[in-house]
Formats: sequence, structure tokens, C-alpha cells
Amino acid sequence: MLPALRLAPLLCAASGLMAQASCDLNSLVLQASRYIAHETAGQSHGQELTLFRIIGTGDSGETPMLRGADLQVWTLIYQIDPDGAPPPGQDGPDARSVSVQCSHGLFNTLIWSPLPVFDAKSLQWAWFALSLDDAIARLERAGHNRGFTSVTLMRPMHPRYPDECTFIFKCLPEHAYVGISAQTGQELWTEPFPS
Amino acid sequence: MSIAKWMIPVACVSISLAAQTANDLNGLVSAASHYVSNGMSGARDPETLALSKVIGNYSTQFPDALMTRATDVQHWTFLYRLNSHAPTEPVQDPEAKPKPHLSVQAECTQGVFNNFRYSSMPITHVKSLEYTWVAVSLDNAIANLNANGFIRGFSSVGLQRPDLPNWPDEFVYVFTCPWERREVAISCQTGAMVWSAGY
Repeated sequence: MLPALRLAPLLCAASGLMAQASCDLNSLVLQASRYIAHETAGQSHGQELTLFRIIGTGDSGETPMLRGADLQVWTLIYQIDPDGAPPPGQDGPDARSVSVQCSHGLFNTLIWSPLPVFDAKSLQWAWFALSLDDAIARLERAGHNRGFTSVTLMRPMHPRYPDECTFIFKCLPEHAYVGISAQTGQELWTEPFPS
Repeated sequence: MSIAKWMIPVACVSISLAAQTANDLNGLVSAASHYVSNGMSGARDPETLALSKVIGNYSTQFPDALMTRATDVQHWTFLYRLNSHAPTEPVQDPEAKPKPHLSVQAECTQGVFNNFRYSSMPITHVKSLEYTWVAVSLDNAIANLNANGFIRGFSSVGLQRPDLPNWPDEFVYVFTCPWERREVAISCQTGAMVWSAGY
């Protein structure tokens, strides 16, 4: 009996590890960096791009999603180093951020924008210990089991929220944003969103 | 008691290693890119090379062996399309025209990259996988393959974006299932079965 009892937590740990590789957002960030390096190659403006926010959405807009693989479009938003030279040509002189998309697994659409990212801290040197599917399991355990319409990874820059890498799920049925720690899986906070 | 104590850490190590390597195809593709760049003397130009196909099977000795889980795939082949600036293939006959190199191949056998080589064969019927991301792990894709009734194993798995009029442009795992004599495509993004075709 004793070895069997000891094996039970091991099996749990194994399934957790398997889940990490599914929808691995750390590798999404690495692949995005490669794509941006390719897209900006030859533009000698020497811009430093700093990742600030990652947003995942489904294809069908308002239909709630239930698992990591339901998210079909990922948008990664980078702030442009304000001390760097402004990017030339099509980017315009006032570009302060840039976004890149990964739709259905294919990277595309690098868009420069004059809007800075102001409500989040840098994710440039961040690592997410929880896979998206693990985070969704924690969301459900916290009682939000009717799906979500988008998820955002960010470090909120607001006195009300802890400075932590957080999955922020938009739960339409509960009319609430739910913050799940990307490191521990704990529910950090829940906030209603205005209708 | 003492045997059980020894077994626990050993089980931990084997489980975690298997899980990390078997499913991380994004990492595998990145490592292949690094290896190919090295094979081309570090002068890798993204405009020159485009990853076009990734094929996994059991081994070179037993290419048709049936597999049922991600860790069974021990041998990976990466095919890159060469677009320009490629060296030409050497020829024995000095009067013959040298053939241009049109593709590059690399293999990863039991985790070790090897067999970097040029080829004059073009890669057709597939689109570039150069800037892509796999959301569904191989084990999850196999689970979905099984859920669709293909439970007797597969002899190879390919990652590709078909470039044929009748096939949707979707980044898919293509499993070759010899028992059913079918190729089955599972989406790399949703895990859904996209198509299956007899062969």
C-alpha cells in the first residue's frame, strides 16, 4: 500500500508537467522575438522594443472559451524605448508602441502605433510557470467555470493590484475580470467590469 | 520500504525529462534552426532559408514502426527550402552544368542533431513554417487522434501547411495511420481533426 500511496502525488506532478508544454506561452514570446527581428531587419533605427502585454482572443468574439487551444489570435504589445531614435518611414515619427499578431499559429501584422503602453510594467525578462491550461483550471476552481472571452498577460501598474505576472481573464457571464498568478496559479483579485 | 524510497526520485527525473522534450516542438524547431545556421557557416539569412516541413518517425532503421505517444518519436527530419544564394551541387563532368541547391535537410536522432545536407530536390506542395508557433503539444494531438477513432498507432507525423487547392491552409500535424491506411490532419492550434485522406 505504501508505495502506491507515494506514487499518487508523483502522477499528479507528471500530469502538471505535461500540461506545461501545451500552449507554452514562453515559447510564443521567443518566436515573436524572432519574427520581430526578421521584420525589422534592415531598419537601422536601433529601436529597443520591450514586451509589455500579451492578449489572447478566440475567433468568434463574444463566445466564451474554455481551454488554451481555443485562443486563435495572440497579440503581443511592445513599448518602444522613449530614449531611442524615432523609427523612420512608414512608422511615423511618433510611434511609441508596436504590436505583432500570431493568428492560427502564423505570425503576421507588425503594427506601429503612436500610443504608449501606460498601465503595465515590462514583461521583457519574464517567465510564466503556469501554462494557460493550468491557469484556466485554477480559474474554474475559483468558481469561474462558464468560460472567458479573452486573456491578458501583464504586470498591472496600479496601486490596487499586486506587481505580479498575471493572467487576467475576462469572464463575460460573471461580468468580471479575474487575475490568476502566472507563477503560483492563485486567484489574486476579481474586479467587475463596467457594462 | 527502502526500494520505494529509491524509486521515487528516479521516477521524478524520468517523468520530467520525457515531458519536457517530447512535447516542446517549438523548442525543437528553434534548436534545428540553430543547427542549420551553424551548418551554413553561421551565415543564415532568413530570406534564404524557409522551414517547410518537419517529419517525425521512430528511427531510420525502422521507419515504419508504429508509435502511440510523443516519446516514441525518436527521429526528426527538418526540410528547409533554399530561396537564393545557395551553393551549387558539385559535378564530376566538367562540361555538365552544376545543379543548384534547392533545399537543405537536417535530422535530429534521439535528441542529437546530425546529417546536415544540401539537396537539389525542390520542396513542393507546402507553405513556409518559418514564423509559426505550435499551441497543441504532440501528446495532446495524439489524444485527439485517438478520440477520432485512430487508436492503433501512427508510423510518422509531419508538421506542415499544405499548399494544395483541396486542403485548407491550416498548420497541422499529419499522422500516417497504416492500419486505417489514412493520413489524418490534426490542427496545431485547436487540436481538432481538420481532414483525413486515404492513401
